[in-house]
Amino acid sequence: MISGHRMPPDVHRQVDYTKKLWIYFNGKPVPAFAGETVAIALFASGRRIFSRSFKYHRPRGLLCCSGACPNCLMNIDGIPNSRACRVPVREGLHVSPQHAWPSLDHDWLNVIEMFDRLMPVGFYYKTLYKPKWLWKIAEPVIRQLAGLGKIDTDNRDQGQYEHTYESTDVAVIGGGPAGMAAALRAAGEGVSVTLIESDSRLGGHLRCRSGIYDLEDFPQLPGYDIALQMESAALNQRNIRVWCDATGAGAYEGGLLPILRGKTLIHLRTKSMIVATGCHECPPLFRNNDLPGVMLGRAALRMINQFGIRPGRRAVILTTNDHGYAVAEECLRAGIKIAEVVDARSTAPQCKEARILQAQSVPIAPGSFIREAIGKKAVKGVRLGPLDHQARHQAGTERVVECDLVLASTGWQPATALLYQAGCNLKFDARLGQEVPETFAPGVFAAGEIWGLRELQDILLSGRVAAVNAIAFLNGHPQPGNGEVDRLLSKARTIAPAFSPPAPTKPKRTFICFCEDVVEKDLRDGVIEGFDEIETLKRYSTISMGPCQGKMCGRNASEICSLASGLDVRSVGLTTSRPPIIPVPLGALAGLELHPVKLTSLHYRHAALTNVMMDMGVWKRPLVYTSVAEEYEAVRKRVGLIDISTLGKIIVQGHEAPKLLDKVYTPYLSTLKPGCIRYGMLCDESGIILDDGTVARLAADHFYITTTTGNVDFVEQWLKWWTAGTGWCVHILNVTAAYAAVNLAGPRAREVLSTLTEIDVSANGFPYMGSRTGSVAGVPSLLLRIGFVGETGWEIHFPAEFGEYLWDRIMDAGRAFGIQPFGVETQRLLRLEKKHVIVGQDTDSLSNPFDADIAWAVKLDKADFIGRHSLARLRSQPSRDRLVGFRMKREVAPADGSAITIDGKLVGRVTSVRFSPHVGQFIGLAWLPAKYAQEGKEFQVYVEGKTYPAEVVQQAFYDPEGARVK
Amino acid sequence: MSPYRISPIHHWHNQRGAQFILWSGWEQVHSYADPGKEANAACSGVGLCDLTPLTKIDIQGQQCDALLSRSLSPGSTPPLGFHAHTHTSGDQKIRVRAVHLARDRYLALGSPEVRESLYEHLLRAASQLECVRVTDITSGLALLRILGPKSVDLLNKLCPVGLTCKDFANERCMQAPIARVNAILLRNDILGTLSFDALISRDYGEYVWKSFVEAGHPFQISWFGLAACRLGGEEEMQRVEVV
Repeated sequence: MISGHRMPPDVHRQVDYTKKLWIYFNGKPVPAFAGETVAIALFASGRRIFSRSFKYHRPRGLLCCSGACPNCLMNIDGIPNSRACRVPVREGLHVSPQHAWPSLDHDWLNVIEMFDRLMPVGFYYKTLYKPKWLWKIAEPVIRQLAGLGKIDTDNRDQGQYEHTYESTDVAVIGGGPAGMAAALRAAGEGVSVTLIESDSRLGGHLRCRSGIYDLEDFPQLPGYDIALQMESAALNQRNIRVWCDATGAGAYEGGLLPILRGKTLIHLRTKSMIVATGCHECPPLFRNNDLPGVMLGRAALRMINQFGIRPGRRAVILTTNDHGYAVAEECLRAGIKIAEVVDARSTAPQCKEARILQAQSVPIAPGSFIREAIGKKAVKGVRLGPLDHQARHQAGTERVVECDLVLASTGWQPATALLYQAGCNLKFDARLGQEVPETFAPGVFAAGEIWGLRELQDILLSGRVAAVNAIAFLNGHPQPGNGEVDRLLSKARTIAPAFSPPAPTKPKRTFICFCEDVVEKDLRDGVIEGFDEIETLKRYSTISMGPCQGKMCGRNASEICSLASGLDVRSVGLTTSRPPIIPVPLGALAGLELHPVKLTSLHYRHAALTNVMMDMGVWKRPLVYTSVAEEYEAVRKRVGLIDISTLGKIIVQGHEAPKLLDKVYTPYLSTLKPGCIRYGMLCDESGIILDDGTVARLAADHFYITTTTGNVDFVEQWLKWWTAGTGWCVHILNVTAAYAAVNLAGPRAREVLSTLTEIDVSANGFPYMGSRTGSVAGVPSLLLRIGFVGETGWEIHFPAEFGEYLWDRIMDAGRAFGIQPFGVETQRLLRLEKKHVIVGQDTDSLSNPFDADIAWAVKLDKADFIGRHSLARLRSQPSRDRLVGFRMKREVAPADGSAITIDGKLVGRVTSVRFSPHVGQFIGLAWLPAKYAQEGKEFQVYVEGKTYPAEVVQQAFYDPEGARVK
Repeated sequence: MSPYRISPIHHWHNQRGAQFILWSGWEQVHSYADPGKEANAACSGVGLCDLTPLTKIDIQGQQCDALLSRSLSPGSTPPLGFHAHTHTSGDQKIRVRAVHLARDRYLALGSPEVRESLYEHLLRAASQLECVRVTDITSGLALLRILGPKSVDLLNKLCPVGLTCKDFANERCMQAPIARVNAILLRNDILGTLSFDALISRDYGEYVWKSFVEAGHPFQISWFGLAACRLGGEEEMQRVEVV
């Protein structure tokens, strides 16, 4: 059943009347047909109000029907601010209005408009700040009323956004006639072309024209047939990739074009770019120009020829150019009565469409303009009157014309945002009445209406010229000129001199910015207040800062600013267009949830034993398996096993490896004997600690370095940096991923290990700080005798692919000795009892080895190393702060980072703290002023708002002599 | 019990019912179900295969060109990209891919069977030169094969380079992030079917694999084992070291 505003079926339209479906508006069923958009289906069902305005809650109806204006923003299937004119219908789709209460048709918040005197432009800068308490009351109210749409936090399942990365030789943005002509011409040269169109089909405005064109390539064909033929050619061209429903969100350096297509953000790299994005029609300026029923001419053409919908029954056409007559003629053909054509120009044109209208006795009023639209929730008529010879409204000569539709064609604003962002310059052409490109960035070209061209044959030719220029650019020729386009422009300037619409007589309800409810009076007031430059006026009035991003209001704002300030419109210019030029969902920017995670080769063994994992940078590590107490006891009394695969591991090889290591590490490493290990610390040029670890010498020219977990990439780069340019024979390889590592520690570790290896692990055969290579349970391994947790222990490093096998063997062998795996939390406690520092946890970007109590690792007698000069100077100066051990005198647990006071003054901070079963108290490390770093010195630690006493402990809390590790 | 080697994606394969075989000490996926169907699915869309056991040897130093010229035939060194070389071990001729990563850096890839012989062969050759180092980094890198006509589309969802078949020709390599992780990517077409090998740090192996699986949903991504690889053609498979 086709009824109401729907027209009889036609093959040229995209609506399939055989496929009826139902959508739901506010829960009520609305019939629709496949191919329609939500806005069209709602319009056909009689809906005229689609939204409420941002500030005054005025009723708003369809204006542009092309996804540019904010008038049809609705909540569609839970997604706020969806443009109803762009979303195709599908069965069961739910639509609800937003920003209206209690309903769209009866919005009580419209009462705000009665108080518009209290809300002049920039009122929030001028009011509500005195007295101070007033803002506290006003702020929540404003916040409640402001904003557009609400995110439905219960409706999270909106599909997954993703990114893809593509490249092309030529990207053509805009699938209208110019874009298609450019793409076809470029593809003919064999290059890869990507044609990007924001609508669901190619063709642009040509799809909305039923008028006959007589072109050389397309003789005696209606516009939509030409569009179909060109679309078919583009789709069948192998080297043209067509992306419909895709919009360029911006232009970035390096030819990067982010394209939003459905739920995919495409990062398109282009070698050359042709911008054929056409023009937006400027909304007309008269009082109540925002009433539902006031539409742009092209919106009507789209509704009629694309969707088969009559936008009204009796129309007044307002125009300042010939396009308005084409609109009127199409309306007439669609069965819409034309009440009057109101032409601001003093004489009616003699174009084909004007003659048709005259032949059908359509009243034409040249030299006139609409002063006001009449109606409350929809247009019921217009009040119009003549203009004087200076195109100003003449007073006292108004008359009323009844109508339910006002179609306006009052000027063009080219969609130049991408050109501008790509580095092109634009200038205002008074004859054409719009900005046109002046200079181009390399590889960037323009085509079509963006040049100010209106004739189809000129538009097609400009596309082909742009393609030829792009091909020449790809072939390495210098930036070609625009000679052919210049000729077309000269012609266009002669054919259709632009006519600026008159300034409205009632600026109060003349809306410039439909997004932010900025009226003409606001802009004039802003200029009077000193904001007479378009960029400052933008910031003051919020014009062009809404969802349309200036597509509707940019040109009009510039005109009004020019009129109010007395500046030439050319010098006023347009506001800066920054990416993104379309609203891009945050989900699209995020894309797939790609959060790199590193797993050790023992991860699944840990996962089988515990679900308490922690994030350590990108690594997952087991925090604790059973309890810290159990694990602590196992390590101190029996034997424990911990996965330390996350340690950074770097191999340094080459004849000059000792020289490099001596240069970057603070201790001597060239004197280290093969089979031995030394603690190593890296400092920067100013003596600040960068990282620490162990250095094992495996052979004369072969070192195995460990680093802290998070710093391995930095250390690798640091080593390479200091090697670069030296010509030394040094090879640095990060083997962190290649080697798994475990630490077997505890008084019975030796017994466990001896069952697994032939290596002599006796105290004499394998002394502390020694290294050996050999087989452990049949796995080739490197064993390092190190005691980070303060017990006899071995780090076993082995190829990662054996991880689970070797873990199982060690656990099997250790069972008889009471082995227990222990996690990071237990390890932190064990090392704290030994007062072993963790770089990054206990040190910061100001810590040097002397203050951090690691002076023993600095060998100032070495000829040179990175930071030596600064460290020598620091050595000669008294320390300012010192890292000290401490114990709490009461059973309270300060958090890492707790503040320290002495005599009520903040003097330091805690870096690490844990309860020590050995001491029976909370112990930790803390930074204190050096003068307080004395054994037994008492200080106060903040814990949850109170202070508790603690005292300095100079030596290790556990086994200070180090007997147990040997 | 003999030591066994597993890839970083072993548990993922296991959860999908993979059948494993021992491949030079590695537990390698033989198949998940029907190898024929796995091969067909990959060749008609996109498939993933875990070939981590392949031997990877890092060659660094100013004289790495000389090392390759001496130790592998043909003696000429390839431009940036990779070429197939032959290494003779006893009576056996073994195919080795020498991937030229930088001016002074190569990566030699071979089948798992040749790991020790190739490594020792290169070590011997290196010992005769002054400044070149050879390190077996098989343990440190996971190798994922992405095969099928949709493989470029899949890679373009995770790799910000914007690959095209024209610009990234067969037998070329590049270093680029995949799923935000540094990777070495080789194009290695098999019997005319698009195929890429991604080498990534082992500890990221499971994460990158899962990223491919997630990003590959729209392409009906499948996964295949060694048996499906071998169905690809005996001769051709030898060329890619799946012996």
